Amino acid sequence: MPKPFRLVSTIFLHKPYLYHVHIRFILLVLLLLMVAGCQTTMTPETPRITGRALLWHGWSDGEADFLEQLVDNFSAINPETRIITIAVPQGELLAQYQASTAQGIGPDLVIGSSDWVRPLVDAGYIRPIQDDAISLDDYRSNTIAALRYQDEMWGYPMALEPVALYYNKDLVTTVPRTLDDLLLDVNEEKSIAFVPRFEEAHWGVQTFGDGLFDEDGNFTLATSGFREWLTWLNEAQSNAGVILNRDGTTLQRLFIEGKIAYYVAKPTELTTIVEAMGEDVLGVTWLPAGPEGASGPLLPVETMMLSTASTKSQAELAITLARYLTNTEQTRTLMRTLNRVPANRQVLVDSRVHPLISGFSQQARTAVTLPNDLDRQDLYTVGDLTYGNVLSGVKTPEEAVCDFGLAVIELQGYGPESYELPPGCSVESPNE
Amino acid sequence: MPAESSIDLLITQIDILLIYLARPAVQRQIITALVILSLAWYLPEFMHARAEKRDRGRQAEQTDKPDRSRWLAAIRHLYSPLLSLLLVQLAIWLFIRLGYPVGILESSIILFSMWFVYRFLLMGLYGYLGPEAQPYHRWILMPVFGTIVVVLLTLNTVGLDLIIDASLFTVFGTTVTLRVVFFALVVLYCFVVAAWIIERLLDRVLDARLGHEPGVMNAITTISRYFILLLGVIAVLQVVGLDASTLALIGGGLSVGIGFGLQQIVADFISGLILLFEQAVRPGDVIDLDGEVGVVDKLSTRATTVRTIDNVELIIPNQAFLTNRITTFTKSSAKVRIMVPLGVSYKSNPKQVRQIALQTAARHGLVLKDPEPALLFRSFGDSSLNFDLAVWIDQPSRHSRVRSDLYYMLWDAFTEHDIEIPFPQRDLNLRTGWEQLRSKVVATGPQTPQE
Repeated sequence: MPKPFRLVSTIFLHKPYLYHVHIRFILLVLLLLMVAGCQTTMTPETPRITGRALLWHGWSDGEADFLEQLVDNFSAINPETRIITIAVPQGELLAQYQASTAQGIGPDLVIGSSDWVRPLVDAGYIRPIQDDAISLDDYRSNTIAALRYQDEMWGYPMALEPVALYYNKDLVTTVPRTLDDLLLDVNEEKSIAFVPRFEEAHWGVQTFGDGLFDEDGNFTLATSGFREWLTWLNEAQSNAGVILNRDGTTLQRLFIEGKIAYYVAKPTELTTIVEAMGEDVLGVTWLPAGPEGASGPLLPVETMMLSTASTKSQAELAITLARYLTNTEQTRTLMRTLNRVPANRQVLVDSRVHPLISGFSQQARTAVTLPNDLDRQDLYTVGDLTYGNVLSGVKTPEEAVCDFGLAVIELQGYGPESYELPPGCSVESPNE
Repeated sequence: MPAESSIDLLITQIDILLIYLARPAVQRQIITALVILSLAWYLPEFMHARAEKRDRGRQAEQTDKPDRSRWLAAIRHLYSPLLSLLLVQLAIWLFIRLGYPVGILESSIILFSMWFVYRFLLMGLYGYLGPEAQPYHRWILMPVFGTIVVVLLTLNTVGLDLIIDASLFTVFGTTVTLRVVFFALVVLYCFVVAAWIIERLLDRVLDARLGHEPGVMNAITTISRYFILLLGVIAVLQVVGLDASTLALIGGGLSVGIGFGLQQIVADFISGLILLFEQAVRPGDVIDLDGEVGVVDKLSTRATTVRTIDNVELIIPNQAFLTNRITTFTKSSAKVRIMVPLGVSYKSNPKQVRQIALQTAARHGLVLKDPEPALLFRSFGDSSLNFDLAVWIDQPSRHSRVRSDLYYMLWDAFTEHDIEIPFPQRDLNLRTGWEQLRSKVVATGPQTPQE
């Protein structure tokens, strides 16, 4: 026997060791691995959909129960499948998914935000959707843009989550369609409230300009309308009817109590507000337009993403499930039951039947998608600082916007050909 | 949605496990971790076995320095975890170069590090205490390490909380989950270990102050142990979530049960507490219970263990000590008197006998000098002068042995001094048949005593 083998056999085949509990434990684990391996090798050869898949989401209890029903329906159609859904607290979902996938475990499918696309793609934690596995015609261009990165689609869009204008019908008779009308309409008894942070208050930028980024992803700060929007906000906050507060929970409570007439928020708050106020008194419409056009809130998209940790058969099952849950029928069901704003444009949102969802759906048409090569969290942080500096009087809108532009250029490493700064604002070279 | 049963949740967890295990990335990491564990576990053992075989001749040298050899042996505890940490780092480096996920291997570093800390503590413990460290190892360090490993694995497993929080059963309206059972066991174990540690500490502290009062020590340690265990039970009931009214209900049920079925046990328990407080009998006491003499070995709350001079252990319910008449030789003093009866012939000089007997008694190591031995002249017997040798000893359980020793010693001493120990003598008077007896004696030849 060769020497290395003799050494190994001496160590492992020595009788006291062979019968040792650890060897038996190792054999048990290997047996489990073999059993699990057998499950996967059988599936590709069978035409029917079989196997197990794991789905993670951050939905609340009631929503999770309904999702479970949809999954049960899928399992009834595909009886040889076993889909396990696990609810993870929404605030922990991204971190848990990243940590698990790094280990090779975690779900085959995760319901998350389009904001996660870039970090997850860069880390290699989600897999792209092949062109033949998704019908892109079912989605608007801004929805597709939210999930496109490095010329690939990275998820199945489920629902749209732009901010829109909630209003109390008992306090509002005519909805203002422009910012000027809004300022004329609001007063101490009939106020508008929203959170003055980049993500929630981005909607006004486009009303004064072309937006922060053009179609090619260039940073067009000079013509964006950001400075004008900040100027408007700065002036508007002196109006007793305009409440700008970072405590969104308090604003929601004041709106529910009827102390605020207008409230800018996402559709994720719709179920809570409807349960508290009732549908009859509540209205949702698009945000007021400005001198340069319609409002343009950011467009987060609730998305089903596929894990790179899955085996081929698990990924196939996950794709089938994702397509099922985002098809026209299930999207309509989710809209009716859970107030989800359909991403699938084949789903007709009748404003007479679903007036609240319709408000968000119309708002989504003019919503803006930021390029996915941006680091969203860094951008939001810099943007929040800009809003804070202007509204607290620390900086003028011109100064704050210039700082914002320089910070974004530095963060993203844009070359001169990729950005356009406002007059009086320039990037200093290192030698200067 | 209807709540899933524990079985459903368990099946779900198994399904999740199978999903994970089907993934090559997971398989690679688990197999690698197992190989590392096996190598780290067995390689040092194997190397040590070979080294021990080679160095057998040096053992005599090592025994000259027991502290050094103990620490050298203790350091062996570190070899396996150190090797595992080294190998896992090597594996991670290799996996990264190959582009494989390494999350499980990275997580295993925490476990291997915990293993190192555990073994480090073991090393210190065995190095400092030697074999005496074994109870601390088994009852404290090993369970703590096991609990930490379980908690670490649980924290990193998404969805496991469902099964941990699933209802196992309901007690008086309180739902008991696996999490509750786990925490209750941990709390109870903590109190048991605390009771054990405090008992040992009290043993040491009290031994220094009350070393000559083992009964008091035993009472204090026993009562403190039961007090801590009682606190533990209350804490466990709190963890389970039973409220005061539920506890009252349980207490009521228990009292009925005690009244009927556990009467004898409770009586023994109460008797045990009375004995502990009253100190009527203490460990080390020599007692006589129904003619059986023995030493009280252990006084526990239900029964008392008495070791007889035949080295037989009697387990006597405590109630017997309160209801029966007990003779204790050591209640206030351990000194007892032994009477050794003896007889010498009428030819002996009583004063010489007294001198020899007292000298003999004084030579015995267990016979006390104070009070000094005495030889009491008891009577003029039919064939002997009768005396009682009275000696005092302070080890009552050895009185039979001392008496036996003294008889041996007296025999030798009397023989040496030609002091006869007579056997009974009788004078016979034949009223009739004297002539026939004489003829027979003449015929056979032996002479009469007169001749």
